[in-house]
Amino acid sequence: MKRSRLAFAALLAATTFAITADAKITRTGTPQVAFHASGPAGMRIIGQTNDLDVDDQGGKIVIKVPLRNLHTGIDLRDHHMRDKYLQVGSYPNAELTVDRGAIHMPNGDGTVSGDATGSMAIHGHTKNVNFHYTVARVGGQLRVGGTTQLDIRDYGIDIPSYLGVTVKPDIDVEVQFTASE
Amino acid sequence: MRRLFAFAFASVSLLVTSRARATAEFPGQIVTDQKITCTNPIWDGNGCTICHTDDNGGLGTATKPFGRYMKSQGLTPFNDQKLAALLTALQNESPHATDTNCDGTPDIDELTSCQWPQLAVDQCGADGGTGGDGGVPLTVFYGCSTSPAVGDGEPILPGGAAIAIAGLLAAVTIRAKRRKR
Amino acid sequence: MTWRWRRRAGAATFVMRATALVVVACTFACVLLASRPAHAFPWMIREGYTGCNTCHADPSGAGILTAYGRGMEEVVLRMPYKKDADPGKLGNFAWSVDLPEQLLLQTDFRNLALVLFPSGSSAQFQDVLMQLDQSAQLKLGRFRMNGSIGYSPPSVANGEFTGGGLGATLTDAPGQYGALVARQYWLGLDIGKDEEFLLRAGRINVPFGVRTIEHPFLVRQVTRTDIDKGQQHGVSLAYTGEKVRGEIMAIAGNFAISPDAFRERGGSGFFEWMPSNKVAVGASALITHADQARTDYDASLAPAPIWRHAYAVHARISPVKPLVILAEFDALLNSQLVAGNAENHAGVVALLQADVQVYQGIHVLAAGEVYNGHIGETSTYDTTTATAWLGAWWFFAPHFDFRIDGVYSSGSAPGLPPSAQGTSLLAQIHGYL
Repeated sequence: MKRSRLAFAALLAATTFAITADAKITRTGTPQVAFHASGPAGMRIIGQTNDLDVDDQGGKIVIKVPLRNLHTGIDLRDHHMRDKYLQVGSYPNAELTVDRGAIHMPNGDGTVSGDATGSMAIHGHTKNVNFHYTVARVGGQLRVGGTTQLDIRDYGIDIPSYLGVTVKPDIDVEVQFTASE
Repeated sequence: MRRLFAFAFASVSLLVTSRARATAEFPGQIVTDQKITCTNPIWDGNGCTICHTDDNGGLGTATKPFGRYMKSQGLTPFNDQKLAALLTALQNESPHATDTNCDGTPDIDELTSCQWPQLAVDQCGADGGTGGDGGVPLTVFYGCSTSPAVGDGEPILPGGAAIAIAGLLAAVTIRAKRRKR
Repeated sequence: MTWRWRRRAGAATFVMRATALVVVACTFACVLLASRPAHAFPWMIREGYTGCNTCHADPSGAGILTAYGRGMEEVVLRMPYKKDADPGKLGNFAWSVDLPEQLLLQTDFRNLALVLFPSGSSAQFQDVLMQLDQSAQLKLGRFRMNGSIGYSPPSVANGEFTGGGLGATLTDAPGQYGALVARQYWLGLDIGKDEEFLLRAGRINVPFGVRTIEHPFLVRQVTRTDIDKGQQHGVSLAYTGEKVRGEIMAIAGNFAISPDAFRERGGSGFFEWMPSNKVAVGASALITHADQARTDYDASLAPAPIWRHAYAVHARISPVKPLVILAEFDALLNSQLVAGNAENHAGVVALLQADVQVYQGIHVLAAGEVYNGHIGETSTYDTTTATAWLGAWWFFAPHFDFRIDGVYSSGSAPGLPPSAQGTSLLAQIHGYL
């Protein structure tokens, strides 16, 4: 058992490497960020934005999503979401801060998936979150995807309710972007 | 509260259908319209039984073959104009063919030759294949009390009862809420 | 004594008054015609609403609106005259009344101006007050009472009394005094942690196919699953989840028609899968038996016992927000035993509709249908009927909409009156409290 664990670790190390201090990540292309919320008896709300920045700060990578352009398809609902619940005027961004060493990258062209922990800051509150990520290297480009689940109550966000329909506090977040090193 | 119950019950009573009557003048109208000159066409003084089960008439009793046929062609109570139109249509058949009581003599010929007692007799018998009993296809009736078989064990419309139950339940709710205070 | 009476009267809660209003609404013979139920908009999928139960009391759609549905009509359906304006209470009952959350009330009015150009006949003009009926729902805990009642006035055609809603009347019809019409009335129980199941008993819309407000669509008429008068009495169980929804119904018969030989018994089911919030695909099945076929409805049938089958696949897709495509394809089978011989009639009916919201509150719609109920038979009934439908719809004010349609039908189909063959021009105005 111990030998097989060592062998696996060696194999993992051979095929991947953690991001080193010399590999600076820069976002390219058009990112896609979406959250999926649900209401009573099957109601679904999908919020989307194409705003996302990657800030490589040395030992940490900060993924920042400006919320001012987050939209759900209905203007009045967007207005309530941004101004009443997320209060983007005071808290304009959602930020995920991740240690560089927590993310494993493919050695050459290939795909690596894994789970990691980062620090999520939304609406003036910060909480550690677990997230699943996938990194695919194609040529010189990295295609990065990540998913996580959040409870909006952890971030001091009031549970949205309108005309008797209340959104559930658990939301799924999905992010996709491309980057270069 | 008493007024509310009284109003609810009174309102429900409005749903009770007023029962239609047979049209007593129809036999005389047939004699006049067809210019029947033979002796005593209305042999029993009423003539209702060429359509109805008895001379009292009443809703659901026009179940003789000729009565069912005339209703299936759109005859409604007190509609002399329609009666005349249907009789004209029977006269205009060339040759006369409609024989609703299956005795071999066309109905219009039985009427104009004072064979009303024969027309009043259903000689078709039960027929499992050609629909209805008596060989005449059944006619659909709309509403909760227009079926010729109502009163013969037919299931009746429960809608009025459902509405009454709803009204009673609502009234009970009012009373219960008042008691809580 | 007087002071105590005054205090008691003054302290009467709005719930009590509103519930009393339900008693009146549900038991009083209301006014005017009720032959065209309102609010069945499957193209709301363009807004991401794949299911219907958020906006409607009926989980499969159509009929009385919830408070959220009323609000959404103001937010996403009606033409906006001010950007991002919060409608406030405009969507409320009577534009401002705060009903208790347990109570839904809706009074609908619809008038139709109709010009018919029947094939081989001269043009006919009709002005029809199509609808003025009252719907209500009272929800106490998980228990619901829901119903609608209206009035269908008599009209005269060719010297005969006629009228609408036949098959949904409580009182005898047609007749010189018109008729009371009650399309839906049921008792229901919400089940599940999120009340995602609804068990109902009463007179219910049959769960089958795409539930559209255009009840004359052939897919609805031929299958007798329209929301005008196609309801049946029975028991149904509906489920609405995030990715799937559906309903099954045990049909006990339509007790608003008689004799009992005509009442169909059997079952119907509807299932829909929503892989995204802009795509829904589904399937339906209906099997019923009656002791005598409705030859007044379909003259090609024999007055004998009948098994009636309908199997459908359908889809609702919004590839881009302004556009929604609805499609339904039904396979039909009428099976009878006449004088010992099997008589089976196989047919198809299909619908394709496109709804384009050119601006919020303004829709342009086009639809085409094709029907043949006797495929492969050598009979006079083996003909294909095609229809084309072009319309424009304007939700111009809170609780009001106006619609014009041009419809062409090349032939006949079960459920279509002879006057519907040829070209028709329709203009409708609808309002509701």
